[in-house]
Amino acid sequence: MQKPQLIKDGIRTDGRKVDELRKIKIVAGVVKNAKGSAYIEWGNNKIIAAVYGPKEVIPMHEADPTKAIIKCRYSMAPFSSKEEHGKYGQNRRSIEISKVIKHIFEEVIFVEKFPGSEIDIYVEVLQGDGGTRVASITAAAVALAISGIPMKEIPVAIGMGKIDGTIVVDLNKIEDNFSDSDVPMAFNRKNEFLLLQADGLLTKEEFKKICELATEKIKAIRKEQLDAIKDYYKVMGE
Amino acid sequence: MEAIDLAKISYVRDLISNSMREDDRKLFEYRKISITRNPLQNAEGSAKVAIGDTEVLCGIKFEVGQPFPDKPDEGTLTTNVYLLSLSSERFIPFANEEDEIEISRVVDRGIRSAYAVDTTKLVIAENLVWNVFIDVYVLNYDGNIIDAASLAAMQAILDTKLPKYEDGKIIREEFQGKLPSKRTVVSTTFGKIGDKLFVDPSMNEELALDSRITISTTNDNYICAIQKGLKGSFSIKEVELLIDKAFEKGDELRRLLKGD
Amino acid sequence: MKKIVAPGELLFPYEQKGDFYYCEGGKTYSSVVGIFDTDKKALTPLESVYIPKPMHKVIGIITEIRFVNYLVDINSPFEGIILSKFLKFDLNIGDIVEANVKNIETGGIVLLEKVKRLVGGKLIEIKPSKIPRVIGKNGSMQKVIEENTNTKMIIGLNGRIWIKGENIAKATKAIRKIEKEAHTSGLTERIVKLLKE
Repeated sequence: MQKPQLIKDGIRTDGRKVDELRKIKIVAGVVKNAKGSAYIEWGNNKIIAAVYGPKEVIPMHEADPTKAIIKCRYSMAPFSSKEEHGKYGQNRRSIEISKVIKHIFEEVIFVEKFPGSEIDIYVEVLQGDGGTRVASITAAAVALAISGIPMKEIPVAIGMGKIDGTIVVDLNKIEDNFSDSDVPMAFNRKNEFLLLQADGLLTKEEFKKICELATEKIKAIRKEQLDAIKDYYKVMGE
Repeated sequence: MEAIDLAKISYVRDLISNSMREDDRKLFEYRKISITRNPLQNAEGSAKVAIGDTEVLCGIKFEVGQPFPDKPDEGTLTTNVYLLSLSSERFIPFANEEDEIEISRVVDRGIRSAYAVDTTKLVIAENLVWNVFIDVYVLNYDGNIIDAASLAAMQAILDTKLPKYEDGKIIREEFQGKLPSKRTVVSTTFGKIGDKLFVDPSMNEELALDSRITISTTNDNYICAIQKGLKGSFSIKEVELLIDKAFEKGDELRRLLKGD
Repeated sequence: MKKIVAPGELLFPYEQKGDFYYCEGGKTYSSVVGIFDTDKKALTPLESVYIPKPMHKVIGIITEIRFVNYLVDINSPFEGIILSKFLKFDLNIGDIVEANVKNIETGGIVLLEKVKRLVGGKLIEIKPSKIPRVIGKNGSMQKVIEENTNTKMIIGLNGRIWIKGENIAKATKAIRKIEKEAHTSGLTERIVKLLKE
């Protein structure tokens, strides 16, 4: 496919400005059986995250007698793409994404409180349109918050990048496919990186600009997370 | 098996022997069913179905390719139901493969036998046909996946549009009409505990089953699939009774499906 | 004033120990989602994972019979143990028991004592953090349910409730409602209304 023009007169293919986030909506508590769960719509992304545990470790030999182990599984549904029918299950990309997401929650969960146990985080992309990993992290964070598993904070994630030479916020799929650079990030409440990945070519100045823009934009995403948590308890009761 | 299962099993068996159920249902009463049409936009057709707290999501996608060698004049149909770990503590990765496969094949059988997806109308050219993929994700498990998955698949089929195929490429944004469908199929699953028969087992009831049978029916009064599951046994009279119930409950389910 | 707090929110500008707090840089933060009462300076978690403590009453299910002890599932990532020598009767796999936590040994083994077997009846599980509401102040809510359904309930802090008696279905309904609406006000009236229907 030929590379389309991604920005024209400061407007992107989906009508957004370069520093505009797509619409985000999060609903907590969607999987009844789970300890905690959340559904996120981020632009055209539709993703479910569910948390189970702390529970006994299977297989037993993987258990750590000093702390809980975290298992994370990120996966894309066969019907999640606008184009092809995907193959069910894990591939190298989804395994890497599962791993980097796992590390975020290993950092924020108080794992020492549950020695010898495991906490499972599942993320299923039902519909994907770029930025699924950051949407997944944002949803999983809410799922964990309502699970009652103690954490230091609620991580928040955002996808930054460079397209047509310009730094932009929140790449959709087309932009991601033709990006000069793709930079997913996740932050703790002190705005320290819990996730940071990048590809393509970036100058140091470009990276700094990305950080500035990201830390500004995550405020709106954090609000969505907190609103989802508050709404969950409102719906549950009065 | 969780520790609490034995306690649940004895409680359920006790209730059923008195023709009662945990949620005050009658023996041949389904739980509350809700259907959401086309919740997904990337799939060419989709549906979400909830039966009680069991929730499933079906997505249908097309590819173009070769026919199956034994059916060269028909499009292909592939059906898969996935017992996602996220839907229940009981689904540990890789531990439920047999169940997944059986459920997938039973859901597929009903659709295929009845040509609910009319694969005879999905031929493009010699050795070139539409490949239809029906994938069902279980989002929350509380028993009776087979019926929920069948219902979701059928609703998705009704709402699926066939994309255009031009110059050797699928043009997914443009459609040439609805997915051809010859019949409307639903499955009805019955449980057996002792000598009591009942429809739509919940998760706790599934734990206590002696046996299980699924009967799929069509809108023009055919049986299009039967699967006796688990151990246990059924007498011929019992199955004949359940066939009547299958048509009766099947029609109720069919009335819930939304067409244009 | 009460407000909802999330993990990472600042609670006190000084160090304060607590089950749902953590300290960093001389300040105290919440580690769970909860309701923080700024006047009483107390946090009530809206959800929590059950962590057994000495003297807790729990309901367990026997999962394994060993030579000198029984393994007990107590609905927690920690495993319960009953020492056979202190038991005057035999237990079978699947038996439901009421017991008190004696001690937590290293490695997360929970030693149980004062074991009584629970026979007949129905066992249900709810979120452990909602159990206090089912018990009520001085057992008031439990009493209301028991009286209006003609049942007896044994309530375990580990999220398990054993119910025996006449209208178990109604008692279950009431408990599920409390679980859902535990953090709201006016709950007692709504439960009484449900029970009198």
